[in-house]
Amino acid sequence: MKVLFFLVVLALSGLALVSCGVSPLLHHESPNREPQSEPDSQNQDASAPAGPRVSCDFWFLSQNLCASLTWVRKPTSEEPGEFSLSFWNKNQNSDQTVTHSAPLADKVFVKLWMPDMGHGSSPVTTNQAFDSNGTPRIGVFRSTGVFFIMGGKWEIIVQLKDASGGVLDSSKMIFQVNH
Amino acid sequence: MWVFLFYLFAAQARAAPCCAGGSAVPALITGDESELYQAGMSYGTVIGDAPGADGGIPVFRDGLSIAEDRGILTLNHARILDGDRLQAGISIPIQFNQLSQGGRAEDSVQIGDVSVVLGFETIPEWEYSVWKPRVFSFLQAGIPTGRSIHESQSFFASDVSGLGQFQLSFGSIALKRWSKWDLNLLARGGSVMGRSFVNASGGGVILGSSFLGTGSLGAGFSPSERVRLGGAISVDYQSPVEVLDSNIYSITSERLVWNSNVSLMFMIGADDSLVLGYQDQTWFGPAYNTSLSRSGYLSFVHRVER
Repeated sequence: MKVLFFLVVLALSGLALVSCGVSPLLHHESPNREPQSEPDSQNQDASAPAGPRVSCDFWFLSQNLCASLTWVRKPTSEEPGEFSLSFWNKNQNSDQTVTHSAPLADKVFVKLWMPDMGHGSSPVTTNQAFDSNGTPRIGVFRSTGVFFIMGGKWEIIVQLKDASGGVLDSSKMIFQVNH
Repeated sequence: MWVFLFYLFAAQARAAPCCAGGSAVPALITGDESELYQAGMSYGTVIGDAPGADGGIPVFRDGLSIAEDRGILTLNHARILDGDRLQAGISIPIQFNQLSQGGRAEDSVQIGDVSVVLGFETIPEWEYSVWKPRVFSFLQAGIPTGRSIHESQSFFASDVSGLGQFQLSFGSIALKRWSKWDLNLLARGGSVMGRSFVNASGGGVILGSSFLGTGSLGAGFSPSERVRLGGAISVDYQSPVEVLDSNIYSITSERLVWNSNVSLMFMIGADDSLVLGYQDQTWFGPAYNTSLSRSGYLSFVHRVER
């Protein structure tokens, strides 16, 4: 009787393992090595300029600004990545090079956030970008130390802060990491 | 000699270092001893990562992924307080994390979240019954002595060793033995308390409270007085957590992970035993919002008879 009971338990366990299709062992995939990003649909604005080089990756409603993210160096298995953020007025026409506008903020702050798990990653450093002559590039910022500690769905969050650290506006985009 | 050693100290089931704070089975005496000392070492590797609910299927890591290994030294002690049915226990984990990818590697040794438990034998087994189990109820507190992901200061977050939030749970364990066979059932539910953190860059994160639950079903077979072969399936659940980070509100996915465990226990003399086990988080699903690991463990248990 007891042996029968344990056999039934064992059989049910095996059935659950192979038939439900939810066993990670039987139902998983391998990492996709091509990093992909997609704009956050909540922030995406259909009327925003969408040229071949310019996309409104981040929209700051209060200042009517867009920011485009351009990877200078994507994070690799050995080194953190680096990108630039270019701010421009959202009302500019799209199919030509935009004129950059500086956001009305004392600091542009970037952080990486994993929403499903509720935690961030290594701190990102964001500073004003300079051209080859050492002149500040208006409305352009450089973020370094971009590294995602694990694979999955991440958010790149850009915040405009005042001198006291208060957040004036923020926007985000989703970035899929395939470690 | 009745040596039913249901191995309650299998607290090796942990999430990845980044998200530590997985299941923590309470340090309880479920035999006839007055004190119990245990030292166990587990070593595991993260095999893959399961996304949040509706986020797709688990992704198993490959040779280019972050290699994530961890060892956990767990020290447990439990003792009967009143000479009869009331007991208390403590569990202290020390976590060794190793993470590497490409040419970069990190090691870290940190204390994990200490847990204390107060237990009571709610249904004792004073005389044999074919069906009536022996039941212990417990109140367990998880103390955030480990470093959480929100306090991490390392590149790979290898220094994370705990959930970082106070946990309070209540549960019961039912045990039944028939000759060479035994069966055990555990149910636990409780709360993970909210907390605010200040991270290394000076930013703040406020986490809301959440519900946690654990269920476990195990069975064992003892071919001789000194040997027990065991197996168990347990599930850990944590409800979504509200997060306020720099004025941005978000809510995490629920977390769900199934642990499968097989073990071999061998008695050394009358009071000591060794337990060799293997645990796998990839056999059963679904799994949400968690890393998936496989680990082996070796544990030494010393009992003091009443």
